This record gives sequence, structure tokens and C-alpha cells, in this order.
Amino acid sequence: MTNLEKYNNAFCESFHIGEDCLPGLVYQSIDAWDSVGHMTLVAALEDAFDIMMDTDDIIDLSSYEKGKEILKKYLVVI
Amino acid sequence: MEREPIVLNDYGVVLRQLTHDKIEMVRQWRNSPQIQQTMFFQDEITPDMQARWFMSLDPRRDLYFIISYKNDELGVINVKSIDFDNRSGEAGVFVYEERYLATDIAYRAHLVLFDYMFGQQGLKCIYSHIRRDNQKALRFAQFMGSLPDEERSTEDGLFLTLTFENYLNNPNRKRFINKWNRINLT
Repeated sequence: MTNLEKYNNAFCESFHIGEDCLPGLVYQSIDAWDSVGHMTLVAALEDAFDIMMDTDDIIDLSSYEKGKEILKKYLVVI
Repeated sequence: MEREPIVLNDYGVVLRQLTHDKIEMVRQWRNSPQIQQTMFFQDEITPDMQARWFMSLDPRRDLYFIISYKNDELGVINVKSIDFDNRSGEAGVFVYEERYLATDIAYRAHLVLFDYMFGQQGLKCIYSHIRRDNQKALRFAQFMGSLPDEERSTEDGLFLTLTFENYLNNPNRKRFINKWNRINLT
């Protein structure tokens, strides 16, 4: 599985949405992206890439696109 | 002599017990439409009402805290109506700052406060009363390990109960604590 596939899976499974919804997806734009959804997403990303995100990055994870930038800090290229 | 306000600091967040100089800020947050709509009491709160409410708080039994992250004051969390005989209290929270709404900051604030309530204040049960139309708050409470108590619930609101045991054994809490310890103890 590629990193992009893992990344997309984390979003799709955390929010129960299809891949077609991912481009442009932002924080709170869907009901599922609330605080519980956010924590579920962070856990899914950490498991998928075997990383531990720090608090500032967890707070900054505000969109599908922003997440790709954040993961670069953890040497994960999407 | 006035008590020193309680300050709790863990998991990257700070909880400072509400003091008189902060009640106007809290009133403005509480009157904002996004917060008001989640509350049972939805009338505008006047400065006088706020002052009377603050004066009515029992400093041992009604503990309200401002939640801060890196000096950003972003919301309020509380356990009120603490009953030391039954070892129970009622929790509430709101996050005003939009940036933090759908993050894990409210979760961290709950862990800090509930560690204190269960661990140092000796409570064995914390309950919450949430509007049935506030699906996000209901989901959050269940994520913490709270269980619905339909017998105590009303048409408008659901009572949820979190026991100390369920709090300690909650898998979401365990995951968070494990991660926190790995980051901070290494």
C-alpha cells in the first residue's frame, strides 16, 4: 500500500466517507470531523505511519491538505 | 481568608479555577450563539446574573476552571454540585475558541480534571446532563467512557454516568496515556 493510500484510508475510515470527499476537506466541514473524529483520525495516522504526533501538530491538523504537510515533519511523504 | 485558586497542569493544558476577574470573559463566551445553543438555559446572561451566579458557587463543591493551552484561554470546564457523601459530581465543558473546537484539547482538559476529581477529591462517579440534540457532546461523553442512564434522563436531556472504574479502563484513555508517557518519559 502506498503512503497516499494509507493516508486516504485513515481519513475515509475515521470519518466514514469516500475518497471523492477528500480533496478540500477541512476541519469541521462534516459532522464526523468533531473532536472525537479528530482524535480517531490522529490515532489512525499514527498507527498507519508508526509515528507519534506532537500536540501542536494535532491542533494544526485542520484539513486533508494540511495533514500532508504535517506528515513531512515525520519523514512521511504522501 | 480567600482560598488560593486551584491550578491543575497536565497533558499540555492548564486549568485555572475561575476567579472574579474572568467572569465577564466567560459571560461573553457563554452568550455566544454557538455556546448558547448547546445549553439548557438559553436566555442572554446579563452581567448582574453572572455576578450572582459566581457568588452562589460553593468553592468546595462547584469547581469551574478556565482551560488554557500555551496561554490561550479557550474555554471552561467544571465539576459542580459535588456530593462528598455520595462521592459524585456533575461535569460540564465548553470550548469557545473555534481553532480548538474539534481537536483533543477538551479531551485533555477532561483527563486533567477527572484525574483530580477521582484521584484527589475521591469521587467515584461523575455524571453529565447533555441536550439530546447535542450529538457531538453525547459522542464525546461516550468516548470518555460515560454510559447513558435513561432512568434519570429527561425528554430534553440525557444523563450519562462515568464511574472511576470505567474512566480508568477506558481504551481511549489508555491509548492517550500510553502515548503521552512514551513522548514525555523518553
